[in-house]
Amino acid sequence: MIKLFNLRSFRPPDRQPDRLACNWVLISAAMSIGFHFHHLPLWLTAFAACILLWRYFIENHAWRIPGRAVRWLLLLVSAVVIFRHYGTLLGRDAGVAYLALLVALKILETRSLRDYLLVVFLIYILVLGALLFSQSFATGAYAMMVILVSTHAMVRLNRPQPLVQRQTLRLVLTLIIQALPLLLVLYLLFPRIQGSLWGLPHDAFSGRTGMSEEVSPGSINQLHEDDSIAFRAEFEGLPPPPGALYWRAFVLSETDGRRWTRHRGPGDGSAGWRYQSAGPATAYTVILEPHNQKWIPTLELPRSPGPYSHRARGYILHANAPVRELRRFELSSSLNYSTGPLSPYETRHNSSWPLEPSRRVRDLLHSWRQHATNPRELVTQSLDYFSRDPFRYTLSPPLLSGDTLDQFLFETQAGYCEFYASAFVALMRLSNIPARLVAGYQGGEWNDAGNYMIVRQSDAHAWAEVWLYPQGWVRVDPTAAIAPERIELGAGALRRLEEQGAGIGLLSINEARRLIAPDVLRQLWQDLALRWDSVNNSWNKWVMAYGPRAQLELLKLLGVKTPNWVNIVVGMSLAILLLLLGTAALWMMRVRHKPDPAVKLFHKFCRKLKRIGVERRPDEGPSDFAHRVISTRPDLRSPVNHVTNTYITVRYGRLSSSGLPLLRKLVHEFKT
Amino acid sequence: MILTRRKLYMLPTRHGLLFSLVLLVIFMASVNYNNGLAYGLTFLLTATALVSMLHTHRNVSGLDVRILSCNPVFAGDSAYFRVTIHNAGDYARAAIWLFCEDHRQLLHVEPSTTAQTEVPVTTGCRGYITCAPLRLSSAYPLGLQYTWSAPITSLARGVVYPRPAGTLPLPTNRSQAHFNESGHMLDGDDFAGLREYVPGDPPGHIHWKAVAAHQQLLTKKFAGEGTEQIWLEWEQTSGSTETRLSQMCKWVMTAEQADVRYGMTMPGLRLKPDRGDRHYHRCLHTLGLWGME
Repeated sequence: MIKLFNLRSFRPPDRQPDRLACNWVLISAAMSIGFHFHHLPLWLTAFAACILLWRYFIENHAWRIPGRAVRWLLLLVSAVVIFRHYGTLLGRDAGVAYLALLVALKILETRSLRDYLLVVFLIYILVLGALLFSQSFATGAYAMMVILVSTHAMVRLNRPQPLVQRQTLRLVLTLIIQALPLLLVLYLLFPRIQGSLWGLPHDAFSGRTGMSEEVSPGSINQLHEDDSIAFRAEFEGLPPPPGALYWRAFVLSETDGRRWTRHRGPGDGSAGWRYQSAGPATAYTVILEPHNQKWIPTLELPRSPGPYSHRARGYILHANAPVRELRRFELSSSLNYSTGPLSPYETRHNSSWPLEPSRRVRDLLHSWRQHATNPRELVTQSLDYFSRDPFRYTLSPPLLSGDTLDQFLFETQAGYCEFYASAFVALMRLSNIPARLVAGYQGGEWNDAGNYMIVRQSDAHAWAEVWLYPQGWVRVDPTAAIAPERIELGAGALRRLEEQGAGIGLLSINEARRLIAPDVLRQLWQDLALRWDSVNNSWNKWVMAYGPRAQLELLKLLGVKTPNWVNIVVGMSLAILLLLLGTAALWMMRVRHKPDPAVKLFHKFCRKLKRIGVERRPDEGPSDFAHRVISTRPDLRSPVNHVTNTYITVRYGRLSSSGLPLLRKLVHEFKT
Repeated sequence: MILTRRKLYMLPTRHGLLFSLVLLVIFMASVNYNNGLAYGLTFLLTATALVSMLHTHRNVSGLDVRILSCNPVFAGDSAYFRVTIHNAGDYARAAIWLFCEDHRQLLHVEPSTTAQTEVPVTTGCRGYITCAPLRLSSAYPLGLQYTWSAPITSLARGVVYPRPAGTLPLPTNRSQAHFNESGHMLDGDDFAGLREYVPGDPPGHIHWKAVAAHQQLLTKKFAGEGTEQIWLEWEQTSGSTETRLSQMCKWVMTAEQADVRYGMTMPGLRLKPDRGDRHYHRCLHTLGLWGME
């Protein structure tokens, strides 16, 4: 009991922090609320900014702190407005809004050290909130800045005497730098748990939408330019040529004549996964951005699925759970394949066309059939037909209604990949050739800075697959016939060609390349953007994609054959302890304990007196000692007093530098 | 006493406990959202808190704390012990609290310097007094944990004089001329030589030229000082020893203020009449330690 009482009594008491410390807390609060600028309604950000400004004036210009009633009123009113805005008290978005409000209003009434530290802790939670929205490198860097500033504020809060700014900053940097090795060990070795502890709020993954899983050409007339990244791919060895970069995401074989959707037939479709490959497999890694769906983009055709994924209908790989965080998939594909015979059910399903074709369509097919003797020739006929005038490729085609097939083929005759692919599949099916639509991505931008490929949402593409005897499913891309630039130069090239007013599919590839060649500034900007992306890619690899799986792989790499979490925790704790001790040893030993020269001289003086039998007790102050010396040796009164007085002046007075030579002289001349 | 590792203890502060709660919240969120960057935040804050333990420890460790003498005081007053804290390290020690009994004060020691301060110690009765154990404590830099030292003690002691009390008037036995040492009367303003400076001498009497020459304070003595003299006698007081000592003490103070030469007789001890700070303290010293040595 007494022990406990003692502990309590030696804790440093709370002191009211000074003005500068308060300003630092204000800065870190502003930074953390600013972090959420995009997530918060504008009025809330503005309101919080006003409150912070108010606090600034209270602290620095002696404004009055508002009374308790005013503060409660502010809290109540704004809480109600937030509730009306979000319609809930729970969830990530509303939670962040309440937290930002709490930080601002708490700071309005801070007085004691405890209040201020509470605000700093709330700021940490607000930073956490921002990380739930984005985990990019830039977010991480900004979060680090906020942590630095708020830690700096904490140091200032705990330091009553002002110190030179530079010194506090150096202290904070030292703290963080010394913390980094510990952070690394904790981050890499702390056992990661698969899955959530409890349910996530409904808005946890809002804003993470991928490709829509259906295609209906002509329903939207503007293909949105979305440059956000769909996935990145790293290849073992050289990447395949552009013409082979067809990333398969899903197969659409069910149609009502207008809208194409996935087939929901019997079984999971993995039974139909049979093909023979020729040539070596291409091995690659796909780092997939979260899209809240299961499909994994693969080159055609994927081989056996790795862990955490399975086969789905139409040579598609599915993750076992919707992809809600950045995931890495180690994959391999065979670029040359033959799938062989088709089951009667599949043949029937892939040849059906629900609508009665119009007269013009029937005539067209009839004229083709007269020249073509087998399905292969019919495919060629059809591609030939599309590549001639008046068909043109455009990213903003006219809308279609009614008999869309007839309208597209004979009236509008303009569209992008989906239009041509779906019309092609329809024509094949009407000619009794099994065909289906494949959606995914085509191409990708190669990043030299990081040796990987970036595939964006704007690289989304649709193409067709026809079943031809004997090799089976064969990819046919009508877009390649009408707009070879799309395949050779990528989706971005089409956009730029269209911006420049050049017709698509009219120029040779080289002419097109020259036309859209970027100027120096644009080139520089692109290089910078690619470099930045490669930083993000490494960041993703170690921050976002570092989960239980990656941890297991790392542990195997470190030589842990059978990792179990007891071993990991023990090993991690040991590593932390060693690091702390190591830091302590390296850093504290460095301190030079150089004795005060004045003390050294005084000790010499004491040694001289010891020889005549007067020894200084360890607790004896210099003047007490001098008194004792004089009482035993009155003849030494003057020199002893002189040395002692000089020593006291040098040691405790202000004239330490000028008095030192005098003390040295006196001690040397002192004789017993 | 140098504060080494074995003499320093450490515990989290209340703020530190709250901080661990916040860490737990952030950690739970990281696990629940499976968020790598949030894990990073959790571990960065954890690591910073761990490293700040080293900083807190380093802020106090290696300080050389010494309790020096204290000036004599009257019983019941606070004795002020001089304390020096020497920082031999090449970094500043910030926000260090010094605890002594109920007293606490904040210190700041620059690199390679010595801070000097005084701590009050309450006195009970006359005699010797030693300083109550001191402790240093600091929560710097983050305030999440604090380190405090083992009690720092010292053999240094001060003298506590008896509490002056009593109602007896000053004895008026000035006629005893045979104790008068000075044979002739001198004018009060005549310069009569130099003596060593005693604290309490009026600044006007300091011989400043001698200070410049010898770097030593000398006071000019003037004739006319202490022409009257009285004897303070133990026999004239009554009551218990402590009461009598208090009465003697009161007389000494009154006599010193009354500007007379006074002598003191105790059983078996006799202090010749004199006046001035030195004599005054010798008398009080004798009374304070009476019967103790």
